[in-house]
Amino acid sequence: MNPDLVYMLVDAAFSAAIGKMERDKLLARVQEMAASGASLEEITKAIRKMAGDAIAAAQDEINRAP
Amino acid sequence: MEMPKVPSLTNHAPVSVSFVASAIASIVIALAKAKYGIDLSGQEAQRDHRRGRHCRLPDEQGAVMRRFLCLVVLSLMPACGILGPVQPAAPIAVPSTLPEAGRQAQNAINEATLGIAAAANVVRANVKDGIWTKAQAQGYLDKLGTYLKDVDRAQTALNVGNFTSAKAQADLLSSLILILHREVAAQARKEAK
Repeated sequence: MNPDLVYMLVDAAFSAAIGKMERDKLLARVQEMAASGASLEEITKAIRKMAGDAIAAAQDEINRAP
Repeated sequence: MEMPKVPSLTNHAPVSVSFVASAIASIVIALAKAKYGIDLSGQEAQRDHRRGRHCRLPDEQGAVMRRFLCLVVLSLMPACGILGPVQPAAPIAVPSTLPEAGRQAQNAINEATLGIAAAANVVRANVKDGIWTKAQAQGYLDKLGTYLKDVDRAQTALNVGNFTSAKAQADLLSSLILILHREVAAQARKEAK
């Protein structure tokens, strides 16, 4: 196989993996909630809070950065 | 409406099967060589070939076995998530007062919201590690903020019973978030080099 093609495939897989890893971590938390008997409405609220908190935390980090 | 609970499945089974299959293949090759002198890996034939001994049959046998083992490994790769998508863990049915269409729309909205949270975490990590400049990170975060407002609009549509519109909005957002995820990851990779 062409080494450039191998590099491209690995590169594409890596770029997709960064976001996917973060997403999987959050999804695991949601699945824990679902397994503990939370309703869809409760899960929705929790996910919305996760997104709000994540954006706020990222904004804090940007403000702190030199 | 109370839905029956489906047990959560973590997807370790295919990976374990692949490891076991690889171990079995290695043991078979080693046993065949040690006990019966059969050269399944083709190493002996290659060595003989280099020494000028042309043992046609073992070489062919080895080549066939190598191809067979390659096929076995390649067929197992998707199960490991290396070449193809791994089947996601079985979804857990949760209780909800929503009808099926509403439930689907809600799931689409939640998927999009989860994507925003994940992207924001990637942004935060890249700023923390000093990979991005403030301006780059702020640009991406502003986009995520806009998407979150769009998610809220889709949720409002769902809350008033407009399930089709809510789902369409959420699906579109998921596509946009996926594009942003790729941009974010590609940028992080470029900066890290």
